[in-house]
Amino acid sequence: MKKGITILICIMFLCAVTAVFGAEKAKKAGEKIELNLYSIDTNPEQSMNDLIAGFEKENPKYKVIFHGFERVRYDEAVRTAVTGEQPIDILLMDGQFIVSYSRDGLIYAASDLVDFKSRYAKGVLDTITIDGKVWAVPWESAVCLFWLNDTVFKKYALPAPNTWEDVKAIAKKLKGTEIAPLVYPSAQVWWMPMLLFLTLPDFTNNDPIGFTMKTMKGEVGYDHPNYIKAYKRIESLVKDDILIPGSTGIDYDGAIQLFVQGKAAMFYMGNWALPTFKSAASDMGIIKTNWVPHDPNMKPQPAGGPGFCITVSKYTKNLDGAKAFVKYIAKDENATFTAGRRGSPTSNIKGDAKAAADSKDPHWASINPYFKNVVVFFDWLWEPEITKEFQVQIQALLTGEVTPEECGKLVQEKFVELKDEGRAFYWK
Amino acid sequence: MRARKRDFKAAVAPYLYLLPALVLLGLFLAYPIFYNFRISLFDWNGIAPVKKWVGLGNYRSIFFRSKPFYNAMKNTLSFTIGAAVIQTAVGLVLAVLVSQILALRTIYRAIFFTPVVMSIVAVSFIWTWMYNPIFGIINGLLKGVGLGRLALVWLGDYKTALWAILVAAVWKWAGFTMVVYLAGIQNIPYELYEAASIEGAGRFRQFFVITFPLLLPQTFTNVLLTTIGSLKVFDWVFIMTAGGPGRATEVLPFVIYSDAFRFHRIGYAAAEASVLFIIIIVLSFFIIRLFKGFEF
Repeated sequence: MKKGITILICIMFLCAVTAVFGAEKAKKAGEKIELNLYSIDTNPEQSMNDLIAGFEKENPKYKVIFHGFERVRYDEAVRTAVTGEQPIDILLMDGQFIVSYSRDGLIYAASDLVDFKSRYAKGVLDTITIDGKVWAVPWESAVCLFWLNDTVFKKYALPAPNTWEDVKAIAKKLKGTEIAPLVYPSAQVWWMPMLLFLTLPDFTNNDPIGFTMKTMKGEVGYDHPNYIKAYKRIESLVKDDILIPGSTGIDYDGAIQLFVQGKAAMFYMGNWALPTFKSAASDMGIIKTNWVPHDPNMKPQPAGGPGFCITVSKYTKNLDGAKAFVKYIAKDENATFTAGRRGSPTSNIKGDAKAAADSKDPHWASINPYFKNVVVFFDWLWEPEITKEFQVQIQALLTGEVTPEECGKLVQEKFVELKDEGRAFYWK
Repeated sequence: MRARKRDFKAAVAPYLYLLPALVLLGLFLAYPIFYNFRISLFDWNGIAPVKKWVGLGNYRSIFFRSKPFYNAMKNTLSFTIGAAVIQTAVGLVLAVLVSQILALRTIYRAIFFTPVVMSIVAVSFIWTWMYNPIFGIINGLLKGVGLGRLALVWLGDYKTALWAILVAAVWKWAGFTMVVYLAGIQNIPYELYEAASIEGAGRFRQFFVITFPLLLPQTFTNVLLTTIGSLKVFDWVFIMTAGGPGRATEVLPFVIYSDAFRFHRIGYAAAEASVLFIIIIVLSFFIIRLFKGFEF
């Protein structure tokens, strides 16, 4: 009996060892080289499957393995893969990670590997350019705008919300009705910085990025009067009854539902909401787009950038294959695969022009002009701790837990703490 | 010679049987704990090939500079004490009520235990929608019965968010507490209740004089398990509020996760995890000592 058990354990051990080394042998004998694509787009059917098939046909020695991760898990997945020495070749990522990935040496600058810059819109490339290098090829571009429920606007004869006075007039007209002037997913801290993107340009003479860079270099503080004015405007969204009461209890899906059901006149969100509208709204005809509101003497300046962009991991063991894939994506004709699918261009000038001409989607055509004035999302530049502090304090501003002055003071305190610890980007 | 060989085998055999379990415990429990403590002595972003030695610097930052840590500790302790008291009490009440039902007792037990086996993720999402201030069923019911003033922004208000999560957690786990108590109730000799009835004791008096004291071992188990589970709460917060509004629902595991995976401060997060580990050990020890005074 004892001998039998011993023999059984030895056989099991041998099987385990054989399986591990045998699997390695089988891999080497295989014909195709695997390229592992880490994607923040969890739905490859939307566009990536066709492109992967096309790439593999042109480059038969490669096989692309698609790994999709939700936005909130993407950064964690990438860093864990790198730490765990898992194969990771290509990153289809959110542009917000460009700064931290380039600083931490996780990615190659795409412009060093592939020639594509001249064929892409400069405004969008600027948002992912650091030290003169463009760190990724834009895959889909995002821009913030105001979505309008046309049924509500027609029913109450509301003016187009071009200026902040227009927005206040809309709030006055809807007072006493059950319709909220503006809905926004304030329950989720993730969305809070977008409110600052909305308000800061008016108080920085339409140079919010220049002002942000000055702040990050310590030339001005996050409690500068320009910031305080921007925080006060955010606070006024609640005080002037522009934001629906109970807004801090509404998440993204809830906000979408309220908007498409006609319980809110306006929804402040990016063009990435378009696919969700298409599945939630029974009639897409009621949904219109508009510039973000601004002061009369300023121009509308929405925040945006490549919501998705693609580049090569510095930890790839298949650099040639990864380069070939990024080069394939950057081809003009391939831009049409994604352009229009989410209501966003890739910013490939030729590809998007063709897609626009071919597209029958009126919403996609209406969104295109907003990319002209786009500036990069500020939180793509901030230290992550500053982003977190803004998320917390802006939400506290909406609930009245802090005043605008306190908001500025607390964010500035966090910045000083980062500087002292050598963790602020311009202090090492 | 044979006898000595037999003695040796008899002495060694128990350890050999324990060896696989000890190897697993060592690999998946002891090693990670010690490795975590080791990382906590470094400033490391999780990727850099070289870790920078800081000694107890991370711990100094936690205790002397970190407002979010103290805020999270306060929230965690509030949640834990609330869960330990409320969940235990609800479980006890359910167990007493279910034990009184003769017919359909199994069905009631199954009904109350069903939330325990449901996925936390699914339950969290459902409760988030129930709490929605505009179209959530809770506010809808309150408005429907004329209690519109109580229809609050449950997950969006600093004062109610943490307790709203606690209610959802108690709803899910009270069934487990109930089952532990039910097992204890079934072991209480019926003659005690008969004797008490003869002596003239009513139901409430019987509960406080017979049932509750004899359920002390089960109370100890429930309080200990609930405390340890609540100190580690993460999933509810991650899904329902992501620590918001502001920092109102940030708990220690969530802060550890944020520091590790959002701010890439692996060493600092490891130090926070070590502190949480010590808190769990100390509180567990305290609970064991507290209940040790009673005779089981």
